[in-house]
Amino acid sequence: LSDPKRLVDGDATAEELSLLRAARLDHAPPEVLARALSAAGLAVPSTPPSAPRGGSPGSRGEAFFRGLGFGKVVGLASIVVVAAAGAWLATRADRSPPEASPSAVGSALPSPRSDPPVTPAASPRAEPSPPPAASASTEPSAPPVPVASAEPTRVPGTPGRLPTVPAPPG
Amino acid sequence: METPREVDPIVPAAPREVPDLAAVRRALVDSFPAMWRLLRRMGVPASSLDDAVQEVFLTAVRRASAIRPGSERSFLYGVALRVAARARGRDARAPSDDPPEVPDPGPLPDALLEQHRAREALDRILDRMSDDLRVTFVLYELDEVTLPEIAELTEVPLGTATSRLRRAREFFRAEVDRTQRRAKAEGRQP
Repeated sequence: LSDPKRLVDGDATAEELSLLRAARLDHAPPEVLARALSAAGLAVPSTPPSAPRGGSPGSRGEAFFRGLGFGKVVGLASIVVVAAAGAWLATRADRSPPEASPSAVGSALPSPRSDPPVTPAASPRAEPSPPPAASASTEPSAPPVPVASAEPTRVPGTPGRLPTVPAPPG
Repeated sequence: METPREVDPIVPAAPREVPDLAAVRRALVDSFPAMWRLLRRMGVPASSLDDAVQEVFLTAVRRASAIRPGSERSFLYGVALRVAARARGRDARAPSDDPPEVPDPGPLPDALLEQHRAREALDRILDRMSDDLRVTFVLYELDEVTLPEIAELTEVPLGTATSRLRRAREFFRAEVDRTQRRAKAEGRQP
């Protein structure tokens, strides 16, 4: 039950052969195949032949850095270094106030003793204290401030402050 | 209140097979030259060949899960034959003002010009064949498909396919002979 010979392999005349062979040599244009694959969603994206130069055909990361070029890589690296330095300095600056205050106090005091800060009468801290007359009218809660309440007692002879202090009974 | 979704308890849900599109692509690329020739010899107009090929490809992708491994070529030929029949039907219903089957090839080397003329002569003969004989003749003589495959593709018994091939050959030979005799009578090359 084998198939009979094809005409081109058998007893075809010259004319018959020329027709059959011409049909067999009818080649499809390659662009038709490309269009059909694309229409069916089966097209494979073409890659440039020079893409895999330098090492094995690599990962996306390698391709990314190849595309960047040396100059851009150096530029990126310098940006990263500057950013890291900036971040380090920022962390230093955040930590400096709590570190600086004890040292500053220590340098200002003659001895490491932790005496309560006794300010003299001419201390600049006494100056900004509001006059009791004004504060009594606007801020009744001003007396609880320990500095304001202690100053009149510590500096009794300060002009302009004695009239505001109520006289002790008796 | 939401009604529960009805599920047929008798017919189990068939597992959805994942089509192997890479295999389909390989089969399409491998079969493309023969498929293109088949569409052409089955009478698809030159102006519709591009669309016909794309229709075959799209159908193959859509029905990829239905292609049995190892039978890709038969599947594609079957699709191509149906697409060709539809294209011929469209062409017959709405004859267009398209140029003749093959456009003017322009200046060609003698060998290519001879091939071009021979293909035109073959197409004229095939156009006069019935569809059944034409399919069998083209698949067997030009694409070297076996008779059992042709019988499966055209859904006829093997004996019928063999008979069709024999009659198609007789028709072809008679037509070639007639063309030659007419050309000789007119004093020109056939």
